[in-house]
Amino acid sequence: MAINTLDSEGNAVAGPWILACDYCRWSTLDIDMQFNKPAYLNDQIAKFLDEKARSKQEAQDVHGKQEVAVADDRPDAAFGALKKFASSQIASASSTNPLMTPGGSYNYDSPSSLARIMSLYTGQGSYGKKNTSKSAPMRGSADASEGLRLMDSSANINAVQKLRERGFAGTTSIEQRCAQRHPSHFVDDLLPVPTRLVTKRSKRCRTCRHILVKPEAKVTSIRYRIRLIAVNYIPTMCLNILQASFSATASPAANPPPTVESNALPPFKATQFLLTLKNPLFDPVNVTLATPTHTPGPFNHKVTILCPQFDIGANTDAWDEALTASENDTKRSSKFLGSSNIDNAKTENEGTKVAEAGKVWEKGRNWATVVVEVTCAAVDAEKQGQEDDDLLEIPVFVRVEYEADIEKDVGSGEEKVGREKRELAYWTVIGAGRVARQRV
Amino acid sequence: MTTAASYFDRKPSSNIRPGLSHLQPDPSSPHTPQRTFSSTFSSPSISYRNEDDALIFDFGARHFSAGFAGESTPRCTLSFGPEKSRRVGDYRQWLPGYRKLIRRQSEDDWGKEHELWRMDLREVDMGLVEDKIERVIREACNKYLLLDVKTRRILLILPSVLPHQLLSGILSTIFVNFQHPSITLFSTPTVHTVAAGCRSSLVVDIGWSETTVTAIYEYREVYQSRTTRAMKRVTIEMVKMLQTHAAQSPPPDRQSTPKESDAWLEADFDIVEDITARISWCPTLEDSQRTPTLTPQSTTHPSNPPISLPSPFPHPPSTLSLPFTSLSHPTESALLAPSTPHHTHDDHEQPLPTLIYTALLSLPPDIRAVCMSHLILTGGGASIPGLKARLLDELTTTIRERGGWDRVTGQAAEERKRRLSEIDHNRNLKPAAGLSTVAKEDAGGKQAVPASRQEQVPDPVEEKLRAAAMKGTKPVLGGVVRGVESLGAWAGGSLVAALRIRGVVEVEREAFLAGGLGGGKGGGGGGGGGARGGRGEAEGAKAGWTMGGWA
Repeated sequence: MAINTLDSEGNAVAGPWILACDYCRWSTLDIDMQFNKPAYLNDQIAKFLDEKARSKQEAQDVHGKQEVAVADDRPDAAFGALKKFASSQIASASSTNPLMTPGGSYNYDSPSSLARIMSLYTGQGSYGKKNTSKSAPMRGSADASEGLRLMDSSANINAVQKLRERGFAGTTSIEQRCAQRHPSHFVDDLLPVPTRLVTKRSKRCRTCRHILVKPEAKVTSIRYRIRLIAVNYIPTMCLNILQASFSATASPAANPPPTVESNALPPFKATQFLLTLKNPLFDPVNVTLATPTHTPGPFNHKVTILCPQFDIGANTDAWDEALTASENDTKRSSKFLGSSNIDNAKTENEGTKVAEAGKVWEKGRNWATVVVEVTCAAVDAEKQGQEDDDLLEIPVFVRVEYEADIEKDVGSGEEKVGREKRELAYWTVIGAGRVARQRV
Repeated sequence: MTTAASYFDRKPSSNIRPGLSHLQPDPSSPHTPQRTFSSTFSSPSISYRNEDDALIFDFGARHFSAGFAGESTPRCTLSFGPEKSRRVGDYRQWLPGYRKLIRRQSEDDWGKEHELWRMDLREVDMGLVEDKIERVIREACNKYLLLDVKTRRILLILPSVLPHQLLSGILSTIFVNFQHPSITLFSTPTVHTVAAGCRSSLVVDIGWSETTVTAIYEYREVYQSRTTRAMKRVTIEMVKMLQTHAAQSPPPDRQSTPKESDAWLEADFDIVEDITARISWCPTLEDSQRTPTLTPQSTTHPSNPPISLPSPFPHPPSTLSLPFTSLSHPTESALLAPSTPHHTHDDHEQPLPTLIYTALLSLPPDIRAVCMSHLILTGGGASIPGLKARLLDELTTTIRERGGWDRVTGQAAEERKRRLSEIDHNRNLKPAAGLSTVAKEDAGGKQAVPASRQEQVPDPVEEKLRAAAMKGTKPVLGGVVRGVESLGAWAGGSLVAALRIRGVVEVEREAFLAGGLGGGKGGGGGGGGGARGGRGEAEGAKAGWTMGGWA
């Protein structure tokens, strides 16, 4: 909502001000609320509500309600009254034992109790005696000044009448009620909600408590002081459909096989995917992939990774590759762009290559591609299920092993030179596409 | 804390410190007023442990609210809908033209994915429940509470009857994923009583899947009964009513479905719930007895305007128009069941007035007297306009019809009562009678009243003593049916925490992680007793803890 001035003649400094929503055309004028200045709106709203409650109470007094006027029937006031009453009760109940605070711990603040404690330790004085007078038992609050609010049947029935007049549009939705401080049933009781504040947070590892992310303290800065994110450590995965090649079919000239769409994968038919893993680490890694033979969920698609174990080179300088692998002309044109490199390699080789078990499909400087074969189960078009039932999602367990330099121990001063074996292992889910629905 | 303004100052205000409470003048007994020193000179005794205010978490089957102790309302109230389970970046629900897939659900499954748990653990995926709890707490802390909450104690408000597996799941999720040092458990009805300012009450919690009636006496749960007539049933009735209404209105192509889809619900849960929360109402007792004469179809009547609602069904029309009176039917038939005879109800589906009456009936008379005049109606259903008044009316009527508090009903009982009163009447004619328990006015007036019936001779000394004893106290009202408004379970928890009252069930992080639910050494066998969820005095340093009512 925007803060607008009511003054239409342009001297915007003067006010009074209102809050207005540009979307739904609601403004605080609808609830007779105006602001003196365009800041500290929360305080002003609170003050406004206080005044409203007070005027209501005065109106009640004028009407001659002689019994103790309901001072303020808003929940906040009732809460305050309750709290005040309860703490007075606790104080009076625990007065027999002045050493204790209401919370039950020893109270050293009062000089008298301090004296009593001293006398307890020294064994002198008359303070050790027990107070024999009984204190009154604690009681519940008895009237509105003590926070008791009686159920008002007539108001309850009046609400029905109001509901009848306002209809559906005059009531608040559940979402609105959750957002308000005090849920109200009717739209005209809604109040402007303050904007939520946002903080910068640092994040720690759940197990080792190491700080993973820490933003800079400066408010306007968007940079991080510590930024250890997983993408820098785990291989990037990318899944593409391997279209059936011409050479693989019996008669290449006749009709090319239909291209497989990722949002309509054919059931009962092996579809091959190319799974490319790219290594972000500066050490060569050994990757082991594992997947359940059938995907979990309502439909069990059969999944096979043809080459589950392979090595990927280090993420070294791109120039190294450019200098070493210079024999291929087509590659040379795109050697600076890793991804297009992969694409090119794929298109070039697709025509001739056949996926083989145990063999890596394609390999590059810091990436490798393996073939995943999926035979989809049938997804019944008629049967109603959950949303996204037809999604093909493959759970994969990835285990990465590599050797890295042992981190230097700063404190000891002695530099240990050596290699250390490290291991990363995690489950991940790869979304492959949707299975074509068909009638079974 | 009397003004709303205090909510808006964000720093944990010092007026929740314990020191304030003793500064108040104490009417009953004089004691040394405790001085407040400036912080440089005061010993740091009190505030070290209590420096951080507790966090209050209130778990229900459908909603979770969280906030800081000492405030009157929670900072946030979150729900557990399936929209919350979407993957990161899945914004399709906001795309134009997105249509929610509306599944056919059986009545049992209705709203299942919107619930955090259900009491039948066979159908509950505990892993999912724990993940949902973790996510909702993280969302509350990161988005709404915003402070560093790690070191604060937690006051957890839970239903008083909860399967061990769920309880242990909740506790371990909080302890493992968040670094809070200890959790104090309070039961929902108890804190409702606190929030109403009473010490004893009858809490009627019209929740989602069941309505519980709990009698609280001096902050102890003494009786609890439950029924399946709750908001879930109201929404189901609402779907059925809308279904029949949609079948009657124009579109002729769908005529076969309503009949066979009787046991199946095919409607958008969110819309139905919204409709139920917004527009359902409950007529007064007189009105509902009069309604048969007023046909619901007479929409021309000014007291019965047509109300147009969005349709929750996947097929057109997209809006429905219903007469206002018909919108009270779901509430009435689901919660009150006025049209079905009493003997048809099973034990688990007693209508609310009957349930409340039987709950009161099964209490000892003293407790009953206090409880019936501190009736707290709460839960999601209590916000339906007219329902509170109706329930109070129904209860009063039931008491009047049943002739007070008599367990025995039926024709034979009536006959017996009639005969007893006849005998009584006959005896009263003879002068030596007087064994009957019912005090009756003698018609004759001037007859000699037997000694057992005579008024007590007033004793001035005892009266004076009693008056002295009662000085400064106010009598607790009893014996009248009266409703009391509660500020809500969360506010009660906040009040308890702000007053620094230690709960009976206090679970320490280390001990729980080492020993689980059974790790408490304190009160091993304390489970079976009636001291559940009570509000305990300080008990010094305990080695273990007791699970109190949850054991």
